[in-house]
Amino acid sequence: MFELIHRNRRRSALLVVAMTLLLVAVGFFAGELLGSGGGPLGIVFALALMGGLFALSWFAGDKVLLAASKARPVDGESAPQLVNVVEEMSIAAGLSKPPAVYVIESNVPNAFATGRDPEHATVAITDRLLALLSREELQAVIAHEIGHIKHRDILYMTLLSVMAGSIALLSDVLMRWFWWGGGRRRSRTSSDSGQGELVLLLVGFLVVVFGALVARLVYLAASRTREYMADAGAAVFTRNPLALASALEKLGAEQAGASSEQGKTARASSPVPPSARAMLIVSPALKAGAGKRSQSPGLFSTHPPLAERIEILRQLGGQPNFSYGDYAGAFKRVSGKRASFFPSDALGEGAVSTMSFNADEPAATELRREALDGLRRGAGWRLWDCPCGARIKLPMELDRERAVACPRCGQVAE
Amino acid sequence: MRCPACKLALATLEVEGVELDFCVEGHGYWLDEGELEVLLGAEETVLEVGELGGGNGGKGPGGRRPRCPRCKRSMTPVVLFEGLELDLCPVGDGIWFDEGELAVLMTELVRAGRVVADTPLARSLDSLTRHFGGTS
Repeated sequence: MFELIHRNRRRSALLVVAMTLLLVAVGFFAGELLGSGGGPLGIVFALALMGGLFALSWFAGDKVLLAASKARPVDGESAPQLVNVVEEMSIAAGLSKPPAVYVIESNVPNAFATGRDPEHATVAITDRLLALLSREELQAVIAHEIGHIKHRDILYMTLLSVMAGSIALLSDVLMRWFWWGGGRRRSRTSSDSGQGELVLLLVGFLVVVFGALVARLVYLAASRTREYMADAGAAVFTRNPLALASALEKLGAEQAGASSEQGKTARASSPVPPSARAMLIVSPALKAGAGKRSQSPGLFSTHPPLAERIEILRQLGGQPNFSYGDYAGAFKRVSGKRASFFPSDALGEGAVSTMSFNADEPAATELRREALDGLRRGAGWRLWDCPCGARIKLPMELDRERAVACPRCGQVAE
Repeated sequence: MRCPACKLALATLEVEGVELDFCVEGHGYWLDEGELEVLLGAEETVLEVGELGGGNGGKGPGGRRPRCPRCKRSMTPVVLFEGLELDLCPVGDGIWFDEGELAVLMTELVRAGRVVADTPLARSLDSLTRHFGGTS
């Protein structure tokens, strides 16, 4: 496991270096295209842009993301069962500290992890997800998110996203400048310059135009491999690959259903802003039938095809025990590709025995209600347990003096 | 969420593991899509809540139509049977029952033999409609 992370860091570092070079190149050519000799200034500007954006996401990224998705915190007191599941999985994954737990009131089932490192991490879950999954399935989804934290994907994907974003921004600004006539002025002043500069201009133009595309594809490809690795981590932490397979199946079915229903498209949209999609358990707003394997792997998708992820986990679940190596093997059988993102050293690590999965376990509705009640208490609601067994929940906006009768037995509160 | 009739914040009632939104003042119920079926323990759809078109722009006979507490679109009146006109969200978010209307629906469903008879939830629903419907 440690080897897995270590080797991953080297690969990740290489990718970050490559992206930086691309950013520098785009910056240089953007500078040159705007004015002869402007290259170095362009580089400085590009790096400063990236540095600024990265600093912003380092210090405030998780807060911005959680605020944008209207996530609110729960703790061991307000939602003990949910927090307990997160703590169990953190221990199984060997995290030094369990992540903070946030709940989002949304009828889109999803979950994501955010933060900068395992000590400053957060897991957020929508209440629809809690309504849908059994306890074992919920454990698996949380273990997947904890996998992202353990593998340090939360920081790495943020970094790549910021780099791809900076490149896209530079390229976009430059394209607009040319579109509005900036390029024509530039070409008149350089009409007497040599052919070399013309080639430079052409190369620069291509770098700037395609740099953004390449950066985005690199980012998305990295995101997809990270999903497989988080799945593998979840399977090992829970020793229950079928639970994650079943959870993914439910999420896929729900999203496909939601987006095929007319007029409900707005509801099927993502619970988080587009920039954070790589962090989700499943990519949002799956098109109907997108779960079928016949579909193309989707170069522009943050997540691998759901059917492929499920099939890999099912194969693992059929074995009496499994290791990371078995996950890589199943990946190869299902996708037909080599699991090159799995460092070979990790593959030799010990196997865990497969736990049996109870597919008939009902959804953990009690856990969801507890979490939602926790949110409500946090938001100033008053909860009253009527002796008849009904529970009345009064929002903060209702004035405290108002007499409220239990709709079931007629008893007046307090 | 706010009451479509009096704009007061809706309170939530949890009985037998099911949550309903209700108005503490006007005693109306808001049922999200599918909640009626959960409440009745019905396997199939009791009341189709779906695409109904854009309503009537908020105006009509009897003044402004109440608005859906979820999406704020003006709700579409649907006459279910003689004596019961419910307000349905035009995009299918749910159904608004004014005071007593849930009881009328229950009575009619029982008459038509469509409700699962003796579950804890059905008994709750019976007392729910007694206290909020008819009697007051």
